[in-house]
Amino acid sequence: MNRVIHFVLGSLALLLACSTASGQGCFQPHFGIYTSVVGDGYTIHTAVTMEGYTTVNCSMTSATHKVEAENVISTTGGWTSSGSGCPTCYFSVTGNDTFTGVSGEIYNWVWDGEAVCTVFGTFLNNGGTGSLPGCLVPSTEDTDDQGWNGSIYRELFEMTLSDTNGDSFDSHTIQEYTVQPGTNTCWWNGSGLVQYPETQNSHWTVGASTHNQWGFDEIGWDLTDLDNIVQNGPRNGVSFPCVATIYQGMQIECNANLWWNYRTDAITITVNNVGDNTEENCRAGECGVPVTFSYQMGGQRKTWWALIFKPVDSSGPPRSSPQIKAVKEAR
Amino acid sequence: MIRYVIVLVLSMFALGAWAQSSPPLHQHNITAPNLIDGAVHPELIPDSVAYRLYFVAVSIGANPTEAERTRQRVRIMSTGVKNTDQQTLISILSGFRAKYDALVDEYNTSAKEAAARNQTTDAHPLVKEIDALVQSTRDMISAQLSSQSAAKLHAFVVSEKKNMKVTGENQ
Repeated sequence: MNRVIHFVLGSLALLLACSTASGQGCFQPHFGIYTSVVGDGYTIHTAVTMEGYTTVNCSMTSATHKVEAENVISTTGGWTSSGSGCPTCYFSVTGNDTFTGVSGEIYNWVWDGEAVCTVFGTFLNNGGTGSLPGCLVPSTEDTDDQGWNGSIYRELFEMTLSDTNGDSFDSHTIQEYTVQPGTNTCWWNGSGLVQYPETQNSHWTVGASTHNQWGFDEIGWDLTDLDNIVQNGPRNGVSFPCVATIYQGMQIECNANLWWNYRTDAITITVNNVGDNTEENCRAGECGVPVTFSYQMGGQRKTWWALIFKPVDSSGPPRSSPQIKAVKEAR
Repeated sequence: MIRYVIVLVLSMFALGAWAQSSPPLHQHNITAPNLIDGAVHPELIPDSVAYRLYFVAVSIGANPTEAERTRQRVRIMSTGVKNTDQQTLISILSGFRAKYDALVDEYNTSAKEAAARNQTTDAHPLVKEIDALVQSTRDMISAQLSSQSAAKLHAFVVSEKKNMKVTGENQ
């Protein structure tokens, strides 16, 4: 009788030991999971990738492993499996889903990545859910420098939206947001400048003057700030060129305050004092020509700055105007 | 005593049967204790790991379907890479995929053979080879794409860390 009891209790102990073995040194997962969402017109492309391997520290002769990716938008999509392999095999799987949304609708997105062992079951599982709005989304935004406007001391950038279907984005509202706080090597304590520059959350209407275009995104420091940087920066530890970087995200309005984040960019404002004092402004890798500025000395400007390399043509058709003036300064 | 043991065993089976007949639920996350969430700590995900995941996700194998091509094109367009550089990038990614698959296939063949002999294999040499492949692919991108497109792709991949999760030893 005692043998029966010992057998049963021993079996129970073994079962419990097996169930915890995976998490306590029998094997260790080394995986990466990556999810992506891309909009193109009304089409939504999502992908879930899981990739990596497992270090095995115990005997697993009969076991096999596999990795799986779940990618479901509304009722479409499902699980994609790598297929089974040995426990120490290297696995890679990507589950894709493509869905065409309807404007105004919101769709549930479920994603998951998991690693499964035939002996220990699922030993790594990480997923989540999200909401994807049906929305007309540009897959491309091209940035064009339109030159320097000396009257407001800003570089002007104009953007063109497009998708693979050639849709019109005219009359759609877009806005900027801060992806993360920026950096500013022109800053010093007491400078009055912002240490972590951000966007001003401006918004614009696409196509106000030109089909599928919006702008201007106006970028630069005020002249008083430039004065401050070149005159007081060196004795406060600023080395040149110094750069302010703003991490700008762009959103397009789907409807009623529902927005789709369609891209992120970096805005940089570079100030240099080698030779002439210059400021160079860039958006999404597109840069204006460095412009020279004068600085204030004894209440008077040393030289009235005059260099305008690419003046804005005021005789042409009116440009699209932002609904809120889009002055982009790091203050 | 015997009754006690029998009840215990039956309870275990009943518990197992209940678990198997339960409706499928979305599993709770079973995370590795050292899982790094790029949405919280992007700085802890090295660029090399971010590029590896991105290359694996966006590259497609030989003889892709039209849907796969479209999906890849849209994903590349969304990076901001110039139109004139996009085809070059697609070619580079195609080369990456072929080499990546070959490396993984070769390793997995030896791993399966070792498993049949009740031996385990060390994946670290493979990981190093994949890291080298990722680096050479990045070098090709820098050399063959315009500097503007290469910079945009780099900014995009780095920004995508927010959508990545990696185990600590995956670096």
